[in-house]
Amino acid sequence: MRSNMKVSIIFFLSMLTLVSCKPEVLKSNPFTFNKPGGAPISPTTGTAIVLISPATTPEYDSTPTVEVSGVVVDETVKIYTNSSCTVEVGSAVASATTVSITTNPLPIGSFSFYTKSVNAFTSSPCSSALGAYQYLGIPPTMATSMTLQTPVSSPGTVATPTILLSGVVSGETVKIYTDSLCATIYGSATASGTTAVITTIQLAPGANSFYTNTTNAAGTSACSAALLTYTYTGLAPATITALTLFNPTTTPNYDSTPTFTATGSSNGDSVKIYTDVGCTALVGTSAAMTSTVAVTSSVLAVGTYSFYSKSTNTLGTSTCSGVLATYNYVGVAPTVEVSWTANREKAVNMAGGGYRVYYSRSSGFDITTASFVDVPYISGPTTPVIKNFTNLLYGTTYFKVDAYSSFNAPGSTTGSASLPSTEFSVSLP
Amino acid sequence: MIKIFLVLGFCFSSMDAFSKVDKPHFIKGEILVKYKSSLSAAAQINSIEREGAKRITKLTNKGWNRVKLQADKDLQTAIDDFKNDPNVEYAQPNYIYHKLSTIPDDALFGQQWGLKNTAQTVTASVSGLDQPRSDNNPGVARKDMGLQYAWDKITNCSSVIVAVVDTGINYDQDDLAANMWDGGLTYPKHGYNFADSNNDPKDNNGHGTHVAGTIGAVGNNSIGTTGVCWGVKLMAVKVLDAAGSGTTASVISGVNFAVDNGAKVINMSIGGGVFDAAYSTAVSYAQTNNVLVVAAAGNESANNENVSTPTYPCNFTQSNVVCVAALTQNYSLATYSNYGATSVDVGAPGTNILNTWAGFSSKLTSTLANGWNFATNGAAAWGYKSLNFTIGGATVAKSCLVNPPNFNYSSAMYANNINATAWKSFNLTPYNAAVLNFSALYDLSSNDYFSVYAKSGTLDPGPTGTLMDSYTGSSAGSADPISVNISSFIGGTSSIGFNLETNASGVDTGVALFDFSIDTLVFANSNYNVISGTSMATPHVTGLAAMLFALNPNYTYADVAASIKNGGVATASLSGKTSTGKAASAIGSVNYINKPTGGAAVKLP
Repeated sequence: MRSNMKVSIIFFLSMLTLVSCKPEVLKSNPFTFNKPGGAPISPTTGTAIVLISPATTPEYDSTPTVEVSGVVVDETVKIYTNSSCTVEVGSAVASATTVSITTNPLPIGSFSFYTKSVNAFTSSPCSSALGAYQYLGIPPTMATSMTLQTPVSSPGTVATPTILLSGVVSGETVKIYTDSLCATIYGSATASGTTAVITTIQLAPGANSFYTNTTNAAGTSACSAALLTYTYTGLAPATITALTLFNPTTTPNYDSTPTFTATGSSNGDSVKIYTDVGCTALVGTSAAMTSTVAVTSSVLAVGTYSFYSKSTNTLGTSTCSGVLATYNYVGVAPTVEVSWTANREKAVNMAGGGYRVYYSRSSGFDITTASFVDVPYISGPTTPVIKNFTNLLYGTTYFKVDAYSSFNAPGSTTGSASLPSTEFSVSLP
Repeated sequence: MIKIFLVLGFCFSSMDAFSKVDKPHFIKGEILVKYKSSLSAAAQINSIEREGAKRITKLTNKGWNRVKLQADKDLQTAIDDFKNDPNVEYAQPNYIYHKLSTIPDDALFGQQWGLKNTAQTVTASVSGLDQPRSDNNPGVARKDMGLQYAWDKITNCSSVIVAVVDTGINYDQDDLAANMWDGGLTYPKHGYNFADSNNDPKDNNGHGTHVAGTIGAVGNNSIGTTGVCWGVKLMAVKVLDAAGSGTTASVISGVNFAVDNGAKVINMSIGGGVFDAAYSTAVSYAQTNNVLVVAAAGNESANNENVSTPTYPCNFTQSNVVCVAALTQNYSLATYSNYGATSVDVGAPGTNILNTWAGFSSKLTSTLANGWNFATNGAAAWGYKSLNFTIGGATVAKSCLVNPPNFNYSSAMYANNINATAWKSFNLTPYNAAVLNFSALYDLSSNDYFSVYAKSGTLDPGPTGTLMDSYTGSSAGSADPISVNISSFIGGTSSIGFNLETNASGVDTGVALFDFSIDTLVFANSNYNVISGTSMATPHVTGLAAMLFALNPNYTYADVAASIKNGGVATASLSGKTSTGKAASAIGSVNYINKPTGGAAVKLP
């Protein structure tokens, strides 16, 4: 079979020759025969494709130039973007063993490049994928300048200045930063026309240099150089308007380091609390980020205190407030003994059994959300039925006790527990 | 016994378990620590003590130590601390493991649906007389007492004495003998017989033996049935005779005997329809002595709340009485079972209950259409007649022995001044007990008596025989079922006679007797019977009560009652019919924990 096929091909080539009826052309063409009377030389497929311009991928160039090597002089070298070499995107006649080919404009996307060569008679086989390129499309356009709009000049007291960015492309997203790596965004906007207006988020007092980059569907531009500097002077520190006991919530109490919630602070202020009318006996400091901030007192001696406040920032110190809160530290919390009658279930009085003591500041509390302390079985005939508390607050604390065991209902692994006891309480002191 | 073990440790392979609110499944304040095998024992102890802990014991596995943590030391923190020691290979909680399910190997256990309901069909008795009922047989799987799970916690109830105040117990029964209460030399037969005032409470009926088996047939002995609580000590307190009848005197004597001899639970599968102050006093005596009384609701399909149909002791108000209704195999309320929204507490399996029996039961029957001997002092008196009765809504013709012979419960009257007997002899040689049963419709003038006589031999038992029972007045238009214990006439041929003795003061419509039979019993020790009733439901709860006492030695009767009532399973058929709306559940009650009491908080000086 194979022999017959070969014969047929030869016959076909002879026929082409006859049809051309131009035997003289045959003489002038540069092809040669590998042997007298044999077949013409087939073209040679390139062996490598290298990106020349741009040299890397992905890029924004829709007509990249590649270099195909391993080709034969005078053969037409073509490049394709599909493996069957039917979608041609460029060609050139080789004048050496390498040839540069600039592609036709590519659509946005990723491409693999294939090649084959042709001569006057035939084509070489289509290569495998020898190169790749991703065309990103049109690159984002970075702003070329920034101008202060509000305030119109620096320094200023506006913590959220509004900035006009120019030289951008409509529809692209423009962002500004205060660091040269464009890492922390301070604002963004969509460009309209060739400009974008951005109001920054809250700035800390001090000098701020602004950088920008732009994002479109093709990607994000590089981070610009500093295009604007604005100095936010900050605000004069605000005097706290209220101090509210946060932990504990009531006075008198047993906590020597009460925590207050200060209201009326400004971002950046250092809020300080004092126990004297002149704001000299400092007992707590906290940095405000919003209009409220928690401030915890240092350890107090037993006694009743009035609390005052003033705030400081880079612009200075506010005036000392009037009395904003009082607190009476009555000393270390007393020990409270909580006891109950022993359950008679053996399962409560053996390994895995015990009691759970729930406590709350609210009468009628829900044990599923209450604080609790476990009193497990340890040894001997019974589980302990006493638990001492040293962390209770001044006032009334309510208790409930349930008993538990490791006995499980069928299919369960949670053990059984009793209903909670009747609620009982203690009032301190 | 098949024991299946569940490794709970899988549940705690992650330390996330510590963040859950669930109750612990490991020993609190204690961990296991594994040191590298190269570390000396002394170095291991030093390491433990450096963490502020103490070694409880060294485990047999090399390098493992059971460690007690400092009080209030967080378990997870302690484990993390130990793991930071380069010499420690492992540190973990000391988990608690549980068996999953315990199934006894008793041959008939598969028939005991009340203990484990597999939707099995309860079939015939083993050498017993009775046949299973067909209603809801088979029932629904898992409608049972949940005992296989409770037995994971406890099977040995030998610390608890349960008194079966009933017809006695066949204490020689193969499945009961090992569990009989030891009464010492004073009560060598494991109890007392108040029905006959002697020291032998052997059951000559079967009822008490069946009850005893449900409570405490020896479990996992490969034969017969198993009781609810396997090793419980069964005290036989016979207060009812072979016919199932007893008196206030015998019942209160039995209750007092049980209390005085250490019973923690008294099973009362007996009841009466009137308030009995003496009986109530006995129940109070039990209460005073921390004894629980578990009682049957009754089998009249009645509401015990109705003032005309109470059942005692259920309707006593003492808190040591737990009253039990009967459930069928799908946990519907048995049609025969009494109920009561306040007087009945829980339901329990009561229909088609298979358990121990006192021996071979049989029934001697005799037609009342012919073959009886008549002896009359005066005019001819007895005769045969077919009469129609309404039974279950249907008209049923019954062959009757009647006096006068033309009895019509209307116009015909018996004769004045007669002493007429109808008798027949029966061979009672092979039996250990015999009970005469018949139904009687009667209307008698004052001072006229219809009596039952018995006499050894074949002659007229009449007035020269033993008077067994006597009736006057009226049965109020209905036939009364009457049972008479004739066990004293066993051992030979005896005559049974019905005597109508009238004076001259007046006449009435007379007597019609039907459905004559003699129930007999031959003692045997490997018999089991399937019977139904609230009498059968009650011992299920009694066994559970014994289990709870055994599991919790410090329990009071009130604790046990609370666990039974609160640990039950809500059951639709009992809603509104019982005080709890629940069916007794062994696993539910075993797991139940009473809520703590006596809470107090005081500031220490």
